[in-house]
Amino acid sequence: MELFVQQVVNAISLGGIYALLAIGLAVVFSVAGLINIAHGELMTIGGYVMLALVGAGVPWPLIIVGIIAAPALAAVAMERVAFRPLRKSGPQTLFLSSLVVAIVLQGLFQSLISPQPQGIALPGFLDDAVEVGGVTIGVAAIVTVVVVAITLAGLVWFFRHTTVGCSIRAASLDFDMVRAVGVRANRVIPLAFALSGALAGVASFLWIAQRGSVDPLLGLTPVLAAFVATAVGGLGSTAGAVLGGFLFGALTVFFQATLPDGLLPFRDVFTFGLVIGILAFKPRGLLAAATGERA
Amino acid sequence: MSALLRGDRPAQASAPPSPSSLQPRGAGRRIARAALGALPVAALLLLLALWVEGSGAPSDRQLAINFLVSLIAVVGIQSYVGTTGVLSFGHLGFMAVGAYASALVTIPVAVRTTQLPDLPLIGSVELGFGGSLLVAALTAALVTALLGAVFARFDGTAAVIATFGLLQICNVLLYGLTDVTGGAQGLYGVPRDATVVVAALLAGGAVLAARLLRESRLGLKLRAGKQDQLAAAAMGVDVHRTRWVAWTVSGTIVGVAGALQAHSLAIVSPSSYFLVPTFTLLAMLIVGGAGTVSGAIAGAVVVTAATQLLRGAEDGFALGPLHVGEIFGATQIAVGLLTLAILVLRPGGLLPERELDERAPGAGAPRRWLRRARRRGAPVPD
Repeated sequence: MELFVQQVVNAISLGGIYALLAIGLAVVFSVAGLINIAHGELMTIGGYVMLALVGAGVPWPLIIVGIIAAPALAAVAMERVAFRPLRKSGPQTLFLSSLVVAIVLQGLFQSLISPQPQGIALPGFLDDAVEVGGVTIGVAAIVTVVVVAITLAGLVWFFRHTTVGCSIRAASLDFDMVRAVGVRANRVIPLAFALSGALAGVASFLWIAQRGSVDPLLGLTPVLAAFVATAVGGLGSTAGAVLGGFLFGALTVFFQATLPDGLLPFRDVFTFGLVIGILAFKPRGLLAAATGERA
Repeated sequence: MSALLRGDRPAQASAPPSPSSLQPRGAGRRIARAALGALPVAALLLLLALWVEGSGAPSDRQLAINFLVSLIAVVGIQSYVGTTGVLSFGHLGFMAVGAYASALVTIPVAVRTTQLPDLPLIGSVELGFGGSLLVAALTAALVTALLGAVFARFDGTAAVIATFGLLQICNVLLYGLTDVTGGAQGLYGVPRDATVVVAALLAGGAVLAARLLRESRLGLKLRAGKQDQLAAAAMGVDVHRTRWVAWTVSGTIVGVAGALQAHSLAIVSPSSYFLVPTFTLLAMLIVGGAGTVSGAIAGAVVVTAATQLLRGAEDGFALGPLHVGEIFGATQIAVGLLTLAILVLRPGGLLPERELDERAPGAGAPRRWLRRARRRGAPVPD
C-alpha cells in the first residue's frame, strides 16, 4: 500500500512536469503551427540561470523569478530569429528550424559553459521526506505536485479570464479571424512563445529540484517525453497535452515499477512503443484539437 | 506540405494509355534517364577515390571515406524523405543496424568471444567484408520492411514524432542489449577493410539506386502521392504501399552506409547513431535540397567542406585555452547556422526541384538525344 501511494505520487509529479512542458508545446503548436524541439533548450536555459543565480547568492524568490523569466525571454527571441522568417513555411520546415536552434544552443552550452553536469546547491528541505498518514513521501515530489497544481489552476484562469489568454485560445481556433478582429499576429505569437518559455522554466525548476544538477542535454529527455505526450493527447490541444503528459508519466512509473530487472533498461522502449502504437491508430491523437492541423 | 519538401516537377502521371508493347520502352527510357544522371557522378567519385587512394595521406583517405559514408547515408535518406515528402528522424537507427550487423559477423571470433561472451545465434561465423555488406543490407532491409508496415503510414507531424520515438527506442536498445551491442562501449576490432575505392563504388551504387527509384514507375507514383495524396489515391496509386517500398529501399541504403562506416572506423558505438549525427545528415539534406538526389549529394559536399574548413581554421586558432569539446561545439553551431540560413533564404535547398542533369545547360545534349530517340520511336509525344 505504502509503495503504491509512493508510486502514485511519483507518477503525478513526473506526469505533472511532462504536462507543463506539453502545454507549452501545445500552445505554440496551436498558434504558430510549430512543434518546438528547442523547448528542451528553454528548460536548459532555466537550469543555467538557476545555476548562475544560486552561485551569486541571490535570494530564492528572485531566483524563481529568474528561472521563469529567462526562458520566456529566450523563447520570444527564438521566435523572432528562427521562426518568424519562416512563418509561411510548412510544419516540417519549422520543425527542422527548431531542431537547428536546439543543436546550436546545445553546442553553445557545451562550448561556453561545460559539457559536464554542474551541481546546484538546493535548499536542504527538498531532500527531506515527510510522513503523511503512515506513508513516507519525498518533499521534492510534494513540492512538484503542489506547484503543478497551482500552475495548472493559474493557466485555466489565464486562458478563461484574461484578454491575452482568450486571444491565444482564439488564435489557436482561427488565426485569420482573430487577426480580422484586430488582434496583432506579431503580438499573440510571441506571447504564446513567452508562455511556453515560462512553463518550461517552471518545469526546469521542478526537474532540477529532484536531480540537483544541470547539463547541456538537460532538456532533451523530458521534452522528448513531452513531445510524445502532446502527440498522443492531440497536437495543439491543451487539455490533450495535460492528459498526454500525465498518461506518459504514469506509464513510465508503471513500467519502472512492474518490469522485471532484466527489462528495466528497456523501459523507454515500452513507453515509446506503446505511444507509437497509439499514434498508428489515432494519428491525430486522443483529443485532437478542434481545428486540426494548420498545415 | 512545406516548400522544403515539395520541390518537384509535376509527376508524369499521364503516361499514354498504352498497349503493353509500349511498356518496356517507357521503362527503358526511365532507366536511361536514371543512368544518365547517376553514372557521371559515380565516375567522378571513382576518379576522385582513385586519386586519393593513390596520392593521399591516411588522414585524407579517412576523410574521403567519411565523406562517402555520409553521402551514401544522405542519398539513402533522400530516397524516402525526398520521394515522399515525409520527414524521418529514425534512419540513423537503420545505419546502426547495418553497422552492428556487419561488425558482428566480421570481428575475429577470438576477439568477439572476449567482447561478447553471451552473444546468441552467430556462433563461430566469421565473414569477409563483402559478405558482411550483404548481411548488413539484408538485415537492414528486413528490419526496415517490418518497421515500415507501421512507420511508412505516418504523415506530416505524426511522422516526425513517431520517427523521433523510433530513434529514441533504437538508442535505448543499443545501450541496453549489452549481449549483442556491447552497450555503451560498443564493439571494437572490426577489420578496417573499407578502402576509398570500395566506398566510392558503393556510393556510386547508392546514387544509381536512388535515381532508379526516383525515375521508376514506382518513383512517379511516389512523387504523385507526395504532391497530393488523395488525388494520387484516386488515380489508383496505393500510397501506403509505395511508401513502404521506398522506406525499405531507403533503410537498406542507409544500412550499407553503416556497414561501410563500421569497417572504416574499426569500432561502432551507440553515440554515433543518435541525435547529433541525425542532425548532421539532415542538415546535408536540407542544405542540398531534399527533393533531388543531386541535392543530397551537393549537401554532403557542402556540409563536409564547411566542417573541414572550420576544423582547419580552429587548428590554427587552438593557441588559447581551447579544448576538444569547444571545437566539437563550434562545428555543430556553424553547420546549424548554415542550415538555418538555407531554411530561411532558400527553403528548397541548393538544388530544389530538378536534378542537376535536368538543369545544367551542358547536360541538355543527352536529354535532347533522348528526346529525339523518343520522337523517332514513340508516335505520342509527352
